[in-house]
Amino acid sequence: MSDPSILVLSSLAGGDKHGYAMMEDIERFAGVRLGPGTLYGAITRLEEKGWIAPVGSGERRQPYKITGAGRDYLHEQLGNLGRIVRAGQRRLENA
Amino acid sequence: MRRILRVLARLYPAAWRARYGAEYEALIDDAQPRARDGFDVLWGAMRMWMTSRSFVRIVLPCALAGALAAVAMSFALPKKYVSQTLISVETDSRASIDARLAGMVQGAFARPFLEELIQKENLYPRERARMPLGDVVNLTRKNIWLRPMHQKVDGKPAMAFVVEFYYPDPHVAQSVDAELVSQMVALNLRARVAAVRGTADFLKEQLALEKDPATKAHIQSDLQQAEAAAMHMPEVFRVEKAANLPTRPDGWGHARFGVVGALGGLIAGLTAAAVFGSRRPAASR
Repeated sequence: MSDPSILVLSSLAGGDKHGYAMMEDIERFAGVRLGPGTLYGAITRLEEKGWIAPVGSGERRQPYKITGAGRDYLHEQLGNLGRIVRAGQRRLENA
Repeated sequence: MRRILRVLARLYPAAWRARYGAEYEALIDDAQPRARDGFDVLWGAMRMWMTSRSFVRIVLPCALAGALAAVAMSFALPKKYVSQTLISVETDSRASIDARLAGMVQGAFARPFLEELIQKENLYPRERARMPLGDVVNLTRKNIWLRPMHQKVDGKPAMAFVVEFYYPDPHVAQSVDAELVSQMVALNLRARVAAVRGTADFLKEQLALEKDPATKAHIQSDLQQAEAAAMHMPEVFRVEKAANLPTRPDGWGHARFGVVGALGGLIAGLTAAAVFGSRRPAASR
């Protein structure tokens, strides 16, 4: 599971963060290091869709927060992933 | 590495830089940059261009226009077919084939021969109607190419060359190429025979003047060899592959023109988008 959008949303679900804090957090909980281009590509897309939003203004290290729509989307995506994980585990056990 | 990443970050669209540039640089300052981050930033910039409005509004139309213009140009350009003949050369000379070929063109394809060929094959009828014959001869000569081939036979370097003729009609190209090769082979053979006959004539004169029986015997032996060589004249030029009938025009196809045109348009569009984008006011949040 290395979709940068899901990783960023999951990171922001734990609290507001700026770019570098997200990068570190994602590496800690997912073991994936997102490069600057990948991270900001995901931030740009998520902000355009209204799933994250900047907090405050004028700061060089701009923090972001997850929006209500972003939480709904993350919830739906993680639910789908959970079903896939459970089905895969069941089939592995029965094989 | 940080400096490289900052430079690469300038490749992002201007509107994106205006919105995210400062925080993006802050991230580059905070993170421990790795070598692969360079590719990551480059790829990110490319993706951002492809999803930007400038890309859709400026770059894509430019690429499309470039491709269309190039394909239209490829249809408008006169087609030329090239017929080729491969000739191998048997020689003891160590002189470079490249230098020898330059002399051959001048010698074999002199003006009287080419004038006769132009009339016989009815070459360049339109040009002949509006140009002096001398200019048409020069035009014909420009479409004749002798290309040296550097190949090996039994591990030893062998001399060979290709005689090419370019013409809008493939059948005429083939016919003229065959004529050019015949002329080269005939002239070369004539020159070899004349060289050996000249040697025999000289030895006969020496034999008549010589008194010493031993020397006379030597000259007699040389004379016999020269006469034998003249009787069994070896082929100097061997036609390995006769003039072919070309089936496709020479040069780039329409598709290749299209691809190059699209690339040219893409580069022009990106340049225009970068210039246009940099002049626009910064995007507001």
